[in-house]
Amino acid sequence: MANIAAPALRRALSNLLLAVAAAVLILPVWFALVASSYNGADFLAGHVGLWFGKHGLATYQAVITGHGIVAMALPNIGRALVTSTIMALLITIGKIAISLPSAFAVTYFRFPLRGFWFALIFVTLLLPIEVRIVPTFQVAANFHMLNSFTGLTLPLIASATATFLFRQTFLSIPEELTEAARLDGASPMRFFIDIIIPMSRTSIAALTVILFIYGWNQYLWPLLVTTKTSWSTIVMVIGRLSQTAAEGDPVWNYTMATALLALVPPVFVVVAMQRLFVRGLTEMEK
Amino acid sequence: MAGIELGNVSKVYQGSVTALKPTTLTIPEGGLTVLVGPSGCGKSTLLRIIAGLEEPSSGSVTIAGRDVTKVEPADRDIAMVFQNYALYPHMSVYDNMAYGLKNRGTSGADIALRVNEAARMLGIEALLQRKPRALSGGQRQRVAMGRAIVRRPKAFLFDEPLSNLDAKLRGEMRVEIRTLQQRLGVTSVYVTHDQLEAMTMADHLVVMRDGVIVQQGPPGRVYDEPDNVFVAGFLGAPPINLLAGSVGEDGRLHLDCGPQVDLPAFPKLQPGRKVTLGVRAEAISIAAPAANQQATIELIEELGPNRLLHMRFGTAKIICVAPREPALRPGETIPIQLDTAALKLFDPETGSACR
Repeated sequence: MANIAAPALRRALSNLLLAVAAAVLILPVWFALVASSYNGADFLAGHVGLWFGKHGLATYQAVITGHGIVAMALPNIGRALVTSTIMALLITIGKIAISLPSAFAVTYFRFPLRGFWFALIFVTLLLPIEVRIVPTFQVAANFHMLNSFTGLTLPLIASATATFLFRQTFLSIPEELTEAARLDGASPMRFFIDIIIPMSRTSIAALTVILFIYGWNQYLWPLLVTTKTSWSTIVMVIGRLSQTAAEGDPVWNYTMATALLALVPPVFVVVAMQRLFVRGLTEMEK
Repeated sequence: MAGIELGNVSKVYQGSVTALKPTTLTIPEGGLTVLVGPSGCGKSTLLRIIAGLEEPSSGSVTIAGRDVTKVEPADRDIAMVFQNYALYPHMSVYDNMAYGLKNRGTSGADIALRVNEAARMLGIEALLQRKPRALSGGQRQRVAMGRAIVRRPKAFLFDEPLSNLDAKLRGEMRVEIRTLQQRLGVTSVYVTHDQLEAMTMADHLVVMRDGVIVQQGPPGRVYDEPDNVFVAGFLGAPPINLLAGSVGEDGRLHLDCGPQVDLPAFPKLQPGRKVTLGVRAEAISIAAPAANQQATIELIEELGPNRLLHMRFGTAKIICVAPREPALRPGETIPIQLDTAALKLFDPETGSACR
């Protein structure tokens, strides 16, 4: 009897464990969702529980239309979402477009000081935007890139990480394929476009997800490089909303609602890329 | 000459590792030349130099009368079949075969014609739309060959193409490649470490070791008349029996393991000379009881049509191929006879054959 029961019991236990872990992970999102369905006063009075309040619709209406929070000189949320999406996409596409050829160069071509150039690219890992923020801002300002997508994205585009990851992917492509392509009369660019890129597509997908989220979550740099509220990103809006606590009544319900709306595009990207993404991280296509 | 000519070709890698010593070789037109040798003997390097994937440190490569030493691989008019097939995983079989033609600007209609023709020849017409990962090893091998065929090159280069297949399939593909090569009559160079493949497929056999060609010729002749003990030991399964000994005053060979052997084929050997005797397994037979040699059976391996007898001969171990009759059992001592005409003698110092 015990022998028969054991696997069932074990399965029940592991399911329980997974359920608990999932609950822990989902709890903040759940809480945000619940919190966004109360009005500001309820929130401050501590009436928020684990179940929805009655003002959900009103909150989201206010957040989306801007009624009721316009007073705080907030940008339109829809507009901020669009700005964020374009910024994240430009950063993603830019980073991939730059790092694919640079990884191709350092992997496949023998040129003078190749190791040095690769090291130089690698060293930029030590210089994230936060470290070089003042001179970078100076440059951006001098080039009149404030309040523009160029200013928002360009300083973030060079990517040692992506170059390095693509180099690893390329190194895992068997040398025989390179030789076969040489015999097949493929020029280096043809080889790059016909063979290398299609064979790296799982890595590209994985990086797209990671880089999109990286771009989406940028806060400090957009805060500096945009001076007009119309250029605010969604993350800046959340930041702005949570600062209301210092200025008057904090509007946690609006903050939560905005945060949840801000989740939608990254989640969409993750879901769309999920299958390729997982494959890109777990296996390199032979 | 329209085959492939290698003039004093050598390859030294940085750090002065010599992969190939200066080598001159003529690969006959239209035939299948097999380069065989243990790993690290330079056979692959030689092939890659012919392909242009490796630049020789010295020497020249001539294919079909044209000096291609400085020519890019794609422009050498050759096609290569790789060990791991090297199919483009994201392309269909058709696209894999067509890719080289597309890059050369062949028209779409012509490509279709050639690919379909090659596919028919190889029996892979039904697979043209599949991706390589949906194919078995043998099918991939055929696609790799198809990719070479559609190019209609001056030469085919094969780099250990069968080493990833199981034994049965290897046997089939061996025959298939050989048949196809004979039908197309294209000069072919085939690299392998497998002596059976080398023996069965070659028109011209080239045995290599340590970056040097040690012997070449028709496979039967190389097998029968090895120039040295390495070639004798490398070709043939089971391997040749090698027994050390010295020539006695009576002109007989006194083996270190005990027995003495007559050497009617070598009348001019100096007494006292040390030699290594080479006896192929098939040159040893079970003899009439009166025969003067005896061996004790230690192990019997049934092969089906015949069997291998592992025997103790004096203090040495020898292997012989014997018919299935008579019934024998391990531990039995039987009279044996060495085929004196088939005996080989080698100098133990230099390894070269005594003739």
